[in-house]
Amino acid sequence: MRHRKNRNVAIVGIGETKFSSHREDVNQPEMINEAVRLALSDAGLEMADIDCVLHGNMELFEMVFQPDLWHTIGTGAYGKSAFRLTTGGTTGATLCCAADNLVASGMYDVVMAIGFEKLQEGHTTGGITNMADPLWARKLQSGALTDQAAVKLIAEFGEERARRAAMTYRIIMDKHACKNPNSHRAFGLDWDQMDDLMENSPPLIGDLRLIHMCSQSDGACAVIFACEKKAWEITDKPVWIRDHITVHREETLDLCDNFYPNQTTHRFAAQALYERNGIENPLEYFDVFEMYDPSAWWGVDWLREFFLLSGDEHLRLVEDRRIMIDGDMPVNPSGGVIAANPIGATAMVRIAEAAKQVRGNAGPHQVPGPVNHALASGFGGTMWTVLTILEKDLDWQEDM
Amino acid sequence: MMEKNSKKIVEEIFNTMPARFRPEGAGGIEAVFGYDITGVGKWRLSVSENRMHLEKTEDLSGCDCVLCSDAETFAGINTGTVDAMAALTRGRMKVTGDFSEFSKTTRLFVRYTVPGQDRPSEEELVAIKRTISIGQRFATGPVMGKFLDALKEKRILAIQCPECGRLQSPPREACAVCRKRNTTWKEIGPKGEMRMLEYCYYASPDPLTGETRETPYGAVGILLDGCKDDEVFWHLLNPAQLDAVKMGIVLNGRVVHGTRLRPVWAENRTGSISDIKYFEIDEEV
Repeated sequence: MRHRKNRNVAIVGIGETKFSSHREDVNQPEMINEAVRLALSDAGLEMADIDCVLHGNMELFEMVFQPDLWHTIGTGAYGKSAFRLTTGGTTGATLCCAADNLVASGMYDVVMAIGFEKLQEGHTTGGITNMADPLWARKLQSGALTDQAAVKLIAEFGEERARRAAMTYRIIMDKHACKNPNSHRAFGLDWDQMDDLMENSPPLIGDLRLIHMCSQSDGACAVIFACEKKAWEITDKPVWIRDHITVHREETLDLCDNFYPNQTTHRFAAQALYERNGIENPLEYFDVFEMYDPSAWWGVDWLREFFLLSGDEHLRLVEDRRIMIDGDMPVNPSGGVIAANPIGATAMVRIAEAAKQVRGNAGPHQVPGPVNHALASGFGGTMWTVLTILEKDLDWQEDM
Repeated sequence: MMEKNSKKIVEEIFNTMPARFRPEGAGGIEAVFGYDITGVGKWRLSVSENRMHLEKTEDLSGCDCVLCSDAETFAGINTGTVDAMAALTRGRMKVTGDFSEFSKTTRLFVRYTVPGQDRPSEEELVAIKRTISIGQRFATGPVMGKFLDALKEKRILAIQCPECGRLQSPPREACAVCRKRNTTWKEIGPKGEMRMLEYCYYASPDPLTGETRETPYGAVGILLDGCKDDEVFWHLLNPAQLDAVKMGIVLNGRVVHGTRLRPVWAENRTGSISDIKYFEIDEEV
């Protein structure tokens, strides 16, 4: 199905708070307000310029009813059109899809989307476990923790190679996180720690160890979207939303999703999105990929899905360190989700970070080469994928 | 943080422990924790029946777990300037014994704050603590209801798609792939082979009871007799047999068979997932 746009939409402002384990110095609206102010100042706009505000998080974590109402004082949505969206882990990406659709439709010219989470104020694993269906799976699921990807990679490539690939991925992400001033966790890991970490990091489930897994973070992200006319008035570096796709499975989480050779939502989304945009070789086309990678095992496994690879091509991308910031296919120069995971903001941070890379002003973690085409993914339960393509120029439209 | 200052803070952290103790956070914790802070001293913290006892000691033998750290790291973790995970990863802090047990200590105390710290007044940074408990009752509907009802009679049912023939258990009203209403019921298992094992060390909460799960435990995907491909059934493994089972797998068309398992039925069955206690190794095969 072609994704038809009424008019072009660009990202014109980005604000991210510092991510950390504790933001006890601010309450929820105060924390959100930090991201809102950063985004407005980045765009050179005032709240009066925003037509509509989108707000989202995963309400199971903080257990706050209608948090957008409480947060109005921080979001600036008073007197404006406003919507709340929540789709679990993909919330941040879904907010961006909605903002894009709202602007493209002509309904609003300038929309601000805000994703946030204060995981410190709830119980993350408890919240995620409650996402499982109450009639059966809730008894069995252990939050977002699973070693299905590890089992699968080990079965296919052997223990030694699979474990090394996951830890290589982990260390690469930490090296990226150390460059990103917003990171929650940046350890300064180095290659000589590989064997020690593989052996001694506390195990969570099977081969999934503490070091592989993402953090529980507090933080917020705000992104401002504008129609083409407004975008050129606001900035000389608009980042165009080319297309996005959302795919999820009907079943709640089950044990076969990642285990058997059935198609994942990631591969399904990638195939459909590239096909309708005429992208034949995603690895060649994209200059950066910000992936929602909740663990190093998933990160390695999903490279194959998102880039439509086969055999061990995804392992070689990691082993040859081609996914490093200075490699030919930089993945998560921000450090990714393992470096910071304020869940309702996380998927938006992927899009925000990809957009910053396209603008060329990401900061210390800017990819050294030119970035014209960027890919960003969101992931959440139950097997949700949101995949977004960002572009520096509008030249792709001529080909279509 | 100056080294001398860190040592003072460490002393303070232990001195204020009795005052910061939260009896409501100690529920279910029966353990002796040891702290070995280099250059400052050793402490033994005993927690039992919602009470605590702390002593400065030279002897940490008999502790369930012991935390070793330098003063700066330990002070930093307690004042929020050092991430505990980071300290653990970098080897600046070590925990011997049961790691998951030690993580419970965070529930035991109100957070330590440095006196006179140059921040907004602590009285203004009040955190409101709440624990909520909600009674819930979920209707299962006729399809799931029929499946749950059969568990009472020690039978496991699956529902079949009239189009592709795939079996789903627990059953769904429709096949989401073919978008057809499922109509045919089949009895499957109750024995089968293990296809997937999640060997869980992490003590997550069981949302049905509110209790923290006993670890380690195993969540398993079982290919029950009569099923094929990805038609696995999700349940638990007898925790005593965690290390005695083998996963089966299908990889590029090649099948490796896993350990044969059988259900252990609960004495009193009410039509719920708990009607099967867990699956155990089926030794007859």
